[in-house]
Amino acid sequence: MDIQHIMGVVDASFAARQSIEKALRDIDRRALNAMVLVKRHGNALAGYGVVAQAFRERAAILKTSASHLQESIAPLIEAYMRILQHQRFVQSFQEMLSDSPLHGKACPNLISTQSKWQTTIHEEEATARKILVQLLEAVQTLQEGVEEQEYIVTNGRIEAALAESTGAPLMRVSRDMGEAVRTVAQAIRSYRHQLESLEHESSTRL
Amino acid sequence: MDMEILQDYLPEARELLEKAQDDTLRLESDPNNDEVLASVFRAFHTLKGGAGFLEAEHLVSWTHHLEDLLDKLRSHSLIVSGPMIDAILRGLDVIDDMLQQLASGENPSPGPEQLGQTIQNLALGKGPMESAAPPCSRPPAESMLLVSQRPTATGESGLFLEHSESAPHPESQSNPSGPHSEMAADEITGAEFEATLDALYGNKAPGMCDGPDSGNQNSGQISPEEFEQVLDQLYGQQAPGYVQPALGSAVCASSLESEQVTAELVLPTKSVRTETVQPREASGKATPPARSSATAQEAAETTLRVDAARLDAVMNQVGELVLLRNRLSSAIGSLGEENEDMLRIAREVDLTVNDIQSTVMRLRMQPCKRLFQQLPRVVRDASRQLGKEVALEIVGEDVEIDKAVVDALSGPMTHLLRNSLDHGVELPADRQAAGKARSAKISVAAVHLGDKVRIEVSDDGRGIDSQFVTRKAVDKGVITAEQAARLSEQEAVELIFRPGFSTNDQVTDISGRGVGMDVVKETVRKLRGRLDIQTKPGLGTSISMEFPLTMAVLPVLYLRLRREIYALPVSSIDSLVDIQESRIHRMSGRSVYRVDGTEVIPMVDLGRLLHDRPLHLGSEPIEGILTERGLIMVSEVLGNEDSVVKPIDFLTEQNWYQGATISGKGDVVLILDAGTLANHVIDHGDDSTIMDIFCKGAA
Repeated sequence: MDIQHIMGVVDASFAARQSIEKALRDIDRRALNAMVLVKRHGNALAGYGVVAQAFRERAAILKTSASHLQESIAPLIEAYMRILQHQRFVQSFQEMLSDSPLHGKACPNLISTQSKWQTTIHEEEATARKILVQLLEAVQTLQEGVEEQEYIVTNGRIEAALAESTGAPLMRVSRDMGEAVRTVAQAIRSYRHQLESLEHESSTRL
Repeated sequence: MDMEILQDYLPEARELLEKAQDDTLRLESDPNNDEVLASVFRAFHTLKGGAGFLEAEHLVSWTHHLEDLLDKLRSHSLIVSGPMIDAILRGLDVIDDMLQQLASGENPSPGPEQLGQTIQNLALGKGPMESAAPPCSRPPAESMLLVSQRPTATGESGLFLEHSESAPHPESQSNPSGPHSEMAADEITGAEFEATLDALYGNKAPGMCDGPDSGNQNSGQISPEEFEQVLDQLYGQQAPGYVQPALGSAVCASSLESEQVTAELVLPTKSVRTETVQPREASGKATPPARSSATAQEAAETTLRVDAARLDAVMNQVGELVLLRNRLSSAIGSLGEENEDMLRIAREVDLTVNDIQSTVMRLRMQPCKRLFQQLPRVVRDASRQLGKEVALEIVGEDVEIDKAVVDALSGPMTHLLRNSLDHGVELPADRQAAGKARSAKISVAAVHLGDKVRIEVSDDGRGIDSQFVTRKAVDKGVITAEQAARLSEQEAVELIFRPGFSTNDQVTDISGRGVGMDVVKETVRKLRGRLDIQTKPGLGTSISMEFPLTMAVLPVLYLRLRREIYALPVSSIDSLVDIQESRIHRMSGRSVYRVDGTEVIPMVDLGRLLHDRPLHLGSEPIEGILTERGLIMVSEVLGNEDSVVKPIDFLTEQNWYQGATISGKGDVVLILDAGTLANHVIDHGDDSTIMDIFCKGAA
């Protein structure tokens, strides 16, 4: 792992955060749009009203899940940055030992310090891995939330078909909802790939 | 005056009056319709009977003259003519005035003498357009019988049948102070009376063996007991207005008709009720009432007349319940998913309150028929005055809407029709020259649209010339030339709703003051409705008004403008949009937003209007609420809720609010008026602020 890789994850995380936030705002707006449409049509669209309400509630849950995602990103990056820093220390000690004419004999303290840093790095890598696993679990939760949202969109399409006679543009609303959910699903999927590559990189190195 | 009787009498009288007007207008096109003639006659007769109990002498006298005229028409002694219809309609207006006097606790003053005389003359066949047809064979004077109600020798109340002493002289008949003038309408011929008796008793009639001219006065008398027996025989205990004999009842009036019998009974409670009995069979055998009569009676038994104030009180209480429900839902929602029981209870309360709200809402609903039934008369009178030929088409009389809307729209509907007749519909010759039918068509329609009702008035007249309207508006100082230059075609047409605007230079009975259409717009605004006008030059104009089904609960969308929360009625929202900078343009000094390829609408910066500080796209969060008239820019859209509007009368006339409500969190939230906000931007561009407006208002 190098700094470039970590910076790549930071960028991916930022982009994913932007994209998810925007898509979730979009989902929320579309849910509200559907609710406004339902309200304007009175009891005729009561069935779709339930769907729109569920869609908005799910969107709120997704928003909360996404915020948990963001909470874990900073500690993960921090952990990796610290690992990089400490690896640099270990490397420095290694260089000092290599450059010394009494290599391996004259500076037992130096060797001990290097060994301590190595242990610290292992501990930090374990912590980072733990955070990464938590993060992947959070992403998994988010993806499950998106799947539920997709299920609600499907229900919405059925309700829209049933209420077609009312003349309300519910099919279009459902399609918009579906698109918003697809956008957020795609953003999360690409983010997950980034995290998984990071995990793979970490475990390979380990 | 007995107030209890009055309270019962007034609504029934108004219904009768409305029906009589409707029927009278029908007579104009179908003058020989006996059913309609009988219906109008019965209306006057019943009105007279009720007025008698209230000791409203002038109302009794006035309805008596009209009843007299209708009696002649009903018996085909006279035939219906235009002046008669005019006189009857004007007579109905007088009755309406008298009812209003009664409602305000006054005894009605006499009707206009000249009109009264005209009606009496018409009844005597002396009218300006006397019946062309020879009068129906009138029975000889000797066979005229009078029915009266007097105490009998034993002190009981009885119906007396008397031969008239001599032929009723036309003058004496027209003189209300004459000895029998009050009974004139109750006169029936001997033959009619015999036919009625036969129908009632068959061969078992008391005194059947005696001829009608036997001279025995008893043969012309029936006591209340006999009358009750006849009713029992006819109806059993199902008779309309039936009371146990022990309680006693007094016959107040009876009109025996060859086709229909109307019986009015005074109950001990003094309430006045009128029931119409279906025609009997010619065989004279007593038969049970027809099925429709039974159904009507069942309907009457399941119908309850309730004071509107009580319904309003219930509606207000439901409103409070809705607010409490919102607060409960909000409080439980903030607990999260910790307590599922509470969440379930909250949802059940939510559903129950929705059901109550919907049920109570339906209690206040009334059919649009009540609103539309005055319109044929308006069209008739105005078209005659203007010399135009118009056919009125009414659609959707059964569509129901909140009582408040029905009550408030009566005036505006009249304005719309008169305006359409005066400005929209062309003279017959002009229509012919334009290749149209001589007779114009005005259509009034009520349509149910989800949680709204649309009422539309359209004509196939000349349409509205937007340039002419703009020129007139500038001439009359309604707008400046600079403002006129910025108007779109639709906005120019909508100038007709501005106060003080009229295309007429002279004020006439019909229009010219520039008030009517302003009243329409204001009424629609107050009823939280939406007004729309569509016109095609040479083809016609259509004005539609959309109203919420109920006025009691208002679904709103909560929004945030920086730190403040506001509400916007859901009915005024088209959709919520994500504002894109690339779609914002500057046009004629104001910012506009391109919604799609074709639609461009003005942007309403709520920050600039309410905070005197514009919202900055890019540097702060901004969302858009698309309304019919503009795109409202806000910081964030929060969510929707059913709210109850509380008036805020303490603000100046010029403000942006429809009222206030209490949100689920218990905060007082102002409800914005989207139409006023957008209109302000259209009129003043988007550079003026709330301070400018209030400064102008104060000045």
